Amino acid sequence: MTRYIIIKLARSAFTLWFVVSAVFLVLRASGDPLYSIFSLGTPESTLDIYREKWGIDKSIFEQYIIYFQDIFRGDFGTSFFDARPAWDLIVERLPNTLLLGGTTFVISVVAGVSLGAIAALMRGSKWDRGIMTVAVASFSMPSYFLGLLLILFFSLEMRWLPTAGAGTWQHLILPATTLGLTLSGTIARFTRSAMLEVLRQPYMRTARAKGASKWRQIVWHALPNAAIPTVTVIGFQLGWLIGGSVVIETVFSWPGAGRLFIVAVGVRDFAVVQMFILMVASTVIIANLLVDILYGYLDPRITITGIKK
Amino acid sequence: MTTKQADSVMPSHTATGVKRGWLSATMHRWGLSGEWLVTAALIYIAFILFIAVFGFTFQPYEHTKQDLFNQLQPPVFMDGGSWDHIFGTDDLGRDVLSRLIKGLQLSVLIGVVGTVIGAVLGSVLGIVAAHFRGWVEEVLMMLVDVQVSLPFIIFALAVLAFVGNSLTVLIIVVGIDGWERYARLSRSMVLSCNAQDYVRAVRSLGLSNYKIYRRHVLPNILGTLVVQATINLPGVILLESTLSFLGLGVQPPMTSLGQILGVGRDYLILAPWIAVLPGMVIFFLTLSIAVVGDWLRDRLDPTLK
Amino acid sequence: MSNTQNHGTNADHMAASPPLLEVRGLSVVFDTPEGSHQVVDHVDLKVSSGQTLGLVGESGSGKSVTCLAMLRLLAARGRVINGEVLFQEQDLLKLSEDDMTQLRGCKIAMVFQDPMVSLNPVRTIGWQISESLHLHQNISREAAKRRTLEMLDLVGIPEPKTRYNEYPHQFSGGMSQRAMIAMAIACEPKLLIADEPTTALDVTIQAQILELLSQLKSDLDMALILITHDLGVIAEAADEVAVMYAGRVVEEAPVFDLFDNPMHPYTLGLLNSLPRVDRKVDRLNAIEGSAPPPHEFVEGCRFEQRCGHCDDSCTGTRPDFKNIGTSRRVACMHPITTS
Ligand SMILES: Nc1ncnc2c1ncn2[C@@H]1O[C@H](COP(=O)(O)OP(=O)(O)OP(=O)(O)O)[C@@H](O)[C@H]1O
Ligand SMILES: [Mg+2]
Repeated sequence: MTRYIIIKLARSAFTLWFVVSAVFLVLRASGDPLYSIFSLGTPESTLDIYREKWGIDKSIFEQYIIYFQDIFRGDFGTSFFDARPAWDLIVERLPNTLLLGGTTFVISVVAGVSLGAIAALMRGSKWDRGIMTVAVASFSMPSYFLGLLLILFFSLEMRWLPTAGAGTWQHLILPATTLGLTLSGTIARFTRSAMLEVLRQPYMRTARAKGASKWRQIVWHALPNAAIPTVTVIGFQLGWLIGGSVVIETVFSWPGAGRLFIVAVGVRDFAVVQMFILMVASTVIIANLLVDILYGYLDPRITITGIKK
Repeated sequence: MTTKQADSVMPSHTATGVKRGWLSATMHRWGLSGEWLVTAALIYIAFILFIAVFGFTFQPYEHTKQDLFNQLQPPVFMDGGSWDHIFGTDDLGRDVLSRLIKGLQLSVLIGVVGTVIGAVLGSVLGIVAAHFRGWVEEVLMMLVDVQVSLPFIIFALAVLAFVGNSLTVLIIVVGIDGWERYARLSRSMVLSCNAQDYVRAVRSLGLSNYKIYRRHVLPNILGTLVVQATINLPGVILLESTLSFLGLGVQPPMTSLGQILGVGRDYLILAPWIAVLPGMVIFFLTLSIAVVGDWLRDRLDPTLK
Repeated sequence: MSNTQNHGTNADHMAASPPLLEVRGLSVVFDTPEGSHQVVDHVDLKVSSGQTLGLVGESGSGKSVTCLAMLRLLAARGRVINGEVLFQEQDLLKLSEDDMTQLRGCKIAMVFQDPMVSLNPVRTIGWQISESLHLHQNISREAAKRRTLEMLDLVGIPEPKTRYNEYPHQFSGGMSQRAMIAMAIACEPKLLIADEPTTALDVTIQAQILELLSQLKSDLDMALILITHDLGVIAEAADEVAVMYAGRVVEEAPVFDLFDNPMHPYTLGLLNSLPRVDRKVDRLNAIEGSAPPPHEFVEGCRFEQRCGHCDDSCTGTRPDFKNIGTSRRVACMHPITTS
């Protein structure tokens, strides 16, 4: 078991290193950022001062080494624009991002799993068809467009909810709904197919033959089995959620890290972009590890193969 | 899976023997009996493709032609609209219908070419991994891990912002999206294909690898890959539209649906049609492709998830 | 074996009281995309307490479906279109779903054909067995655990304490089968339906399981329906036998009469395909051809194609049951009489 975990950890570390290096290379190889930061006529001598200050006068290889040394010292670079540490800029916006992402995630998982299970249990009924139609529609909908429609109706037309910004729970409703609709649609679809798969397994008939009530069959026999594939899918959706929230934060001017990223990308702010990507990748990788562990916990068959490996 | 198939077969059963109109007769001929949603989706896709290819012939204005006396003019079906600009004009007085046609053309082009790039790239990598096994396979699986660990849109935004967003770069970036799905799929299919007796037999007869893959392996996995591509296509279209909406995709003077929407976002109160029309076009397009993709999958390849 | 003795007591039983379970005219239809097929056609069965009814027939003859229909456990696309299932003189098909739920696992229990996939993979064996107890008895956690351990011991699972906490994938086929049996008999049902409990087990384990079942049957005074396509199992364990062919019962007889004097040509064919010590055969006489699939079921005799005794009267009309004496019946136009 420890061996299994160590291999997993090593692979994750490698993945993270690869992502960070690849992004570093792509960004640095893309040309001198100073030309997009300073206006056209700025004398080269001034630019050189900044090049030296930001360490981009050195070769890419040297920069790369320094970058990694700095990371291990806890220094994630300085924003070209704010002249503040990238770490501070991102971390101060994290609570907002976590608030939006966390709310969306919890609601979507609860809604998606229950709707998917209901659809599976009432397979072929009006409810099933209704839920699945909404699910397919929800992930065919461009999320930013859905956001705009919601703003158009609830904020501009009905004047019920604020169009943008953060602060109160009213601010949270529209962005969370926008993000959550797509996510719960995806989760509902997967839950439904996992559930249908489980419901036709012979052990469900055994549960019925034992005299377990309908409710008991679902909660104690079907759901724990359906949870196994569903958890994996939900884990993978975390990456999607982060990507989606970058867009939605922009649409709703939500003062989170995602919006900061879009702004930073627009002005080619190395340090902020790098740090954001490092953070997102670590989050996703850790989430996948947790899913793996949870998976082994949910499925007794997995732990054994893990030990044997 | 058999039960899933049952869903699609059952309606055809009930429909036979019933007197049919022209539409349902045609649907029946195409194996679409009772599948009204799929039929509607197919018709919509055909319509969009037609506009994308031939739209320029009846495009009323040049999509960049500004008319500063007619800014933000509403569409004909709203108060104050006129037949001069059926879908109204935007902030610079450009004809929205013309821009939609032009934008659609580019969106469809990027979506299709991007999907093909992803499918070919991913499948080839998957086949190579399955053929050589060993460290080649290991490296591929690690690349898949890497791809999965970074939400693609974030990667795409970074690359487009730093490397530059020419149309070529955009198409390549959009195309890379989803390669890992094809790679996984083709790898596992080729592995199981290679394990089959007849492929082993053919191999032992001394047929070259190229011929084996062309004649015996590819035909077996092509169907599944095509279905997977259909399922991926809406995602690719959405990705391009999102990038363009955020201003990092298609750049003026070229235009795409997402880009029109991005402009319209600033005029949501004054001129909602600028944003809503392209949004609707994209939504129904991705929805239609998703519906058709699901139907194809259930029909042809119930093993795909 | 103890068969003779049992047989005697059963005869008394039958004369005195109505049978524990009586199935009359049970018919089941499956609606598939290819059309509706009646896979069980007017089946009559009877079994009394303390008695074993053997249900034999080739694969696909409808044995499992018949039993599932009795317990109302058919898949969604299957439905009973006709018949009654009288259990303790109560028609199970007319019970409310709640009453049926209470009855299942408590008074009637079933052991399924494929034990490996019939156990829930994410629950421990102990959990699954004690669940039966909790469902039907007001019993404390500790008591249920104690009883479960007893059951595991009873069905011959070694080291019950360790096995209690293990998962189905850690059990072999034979052990899973035993666990299924323990689960089924935990509440001491009046009727146990065992669907091919010994198929896919090796011969020694097969014998042990049969021994176990007949032991339990006499200990608990249960009725047992034993489904199998193995006549050897029937000879060893059954009191009464019903032979099914293509969705119908074609012959019903006490086990000795059936083996001594099969009256339906199909039964004869089955017996002839058995290797026997008391008769010298050069090769096994398997019946030629194969049983028709449900969509080729005809109204007339369904064995006609493979039968050596048929004539025109076999086509078109369904062969009625002929009562032979008091204890046996056969559905054939030309039953074989003792030579
Ligand atoms: N869920 C189902 N849907 C459609 N047909 C079914 C279903 N279950 C059983 N059948 C059909 O019913 C017929 C009888 O099946 P059944 O399982 O009762 O056979 P059996 O006598 O138990 O055979 P075996 O010895 O293989 O277990 C078969 O032709 C089978 O194809
Ligand atoms: Mg069976």
